Amino acid sequence: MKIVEQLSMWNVYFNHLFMHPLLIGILIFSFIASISFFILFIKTNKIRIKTTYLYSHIFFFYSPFIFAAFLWNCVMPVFMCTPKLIIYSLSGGYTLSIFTGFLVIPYIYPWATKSNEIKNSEQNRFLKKWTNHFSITQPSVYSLNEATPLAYSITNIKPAIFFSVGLLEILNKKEMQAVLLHELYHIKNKSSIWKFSLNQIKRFSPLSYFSSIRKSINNEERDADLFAIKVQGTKRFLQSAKKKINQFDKHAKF
Amino acid sequence: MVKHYLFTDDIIKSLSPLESFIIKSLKPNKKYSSQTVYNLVNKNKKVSRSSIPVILDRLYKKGILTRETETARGGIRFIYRLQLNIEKFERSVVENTVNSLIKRFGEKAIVYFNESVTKQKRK
Repeated sequence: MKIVEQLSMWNVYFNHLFMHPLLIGILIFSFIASISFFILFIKTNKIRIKTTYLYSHIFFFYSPFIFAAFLWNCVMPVFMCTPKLIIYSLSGGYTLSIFTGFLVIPYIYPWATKSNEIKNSEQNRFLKKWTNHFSITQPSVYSLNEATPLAYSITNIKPAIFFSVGLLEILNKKEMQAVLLHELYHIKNKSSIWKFSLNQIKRFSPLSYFSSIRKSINNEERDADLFAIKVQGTKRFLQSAKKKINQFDKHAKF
Repeated sequence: MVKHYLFTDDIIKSLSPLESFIIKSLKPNKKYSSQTVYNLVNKNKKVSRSSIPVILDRLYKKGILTRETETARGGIRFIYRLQLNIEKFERSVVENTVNSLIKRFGEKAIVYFNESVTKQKRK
């Protein structure tokens, strides 16, 4: 089909969207709702609430187009159906890819990072004690074959904590426990789901490019630190762990 | 391709003072954890504990040491061994030299490399 015909078809689709009284009503309502949720998204710093607002903002932003596609009458199943097919496949495809990401990433990530699962270690026993205490699923523990000290967690379906061998080498037992408690807070709060979600859907909102999610992520990290301090009853170990990690980074630069 | 031989002066000269000190302190075919390397080095030279894993990682990346993981009492740790991977070492020396030239001279260095490679091809 020629491009002129394609464009004229989109023109008809937009006329259909803007002329239909029901669709105009939905469009206005959705626009107001979308902007309201975006303002709430900017104003909030709690990552979980922020993500929910962003989802709502995006839902209302796209819903009139999806609804208009639903009411779009095709002459034949394929002919004159391009806008409908494109909108259906894009919205369906993106939703499916995000859900697949949630489901698949926890299973392929350890393989992709070539990390090894650690079982029956000091770290597993420590995590078992605190996961029982807080009634959360015990995460699997993986070691990364790297000298750079790092630790992070993923919480989609199958929670897991990853840390590098380098981290174990420079931290003592109590410092390592402080890091594990920090990560446990992320698992308890399902931080990685929210972070992943926020990063993924942010790209679907043209407005969200004008806002930063850095502050919310920093808040989440600060809360995780406070959790580790509260459980250990002192900030000594977390601080010395951070100091050692910073020292490593400093030495690595020279 | 991995070759084993004693380190030549050229190799030692290409390393930093602490790197070469560590290399001289280690014995071939013996395994070392970063703690044992620290204990060894600290006898003769005052170094911070956190600098040892950095140096060992750098020597590993340069192809001078090999490493494997070992499960110890507190968890997993790296075990290093002196073993020169000449191909990896040469690559790291070239990479470091080229990178430092590009960092210092920027585009001029890249233009020079390009001209030099073209001349070599013509020959």
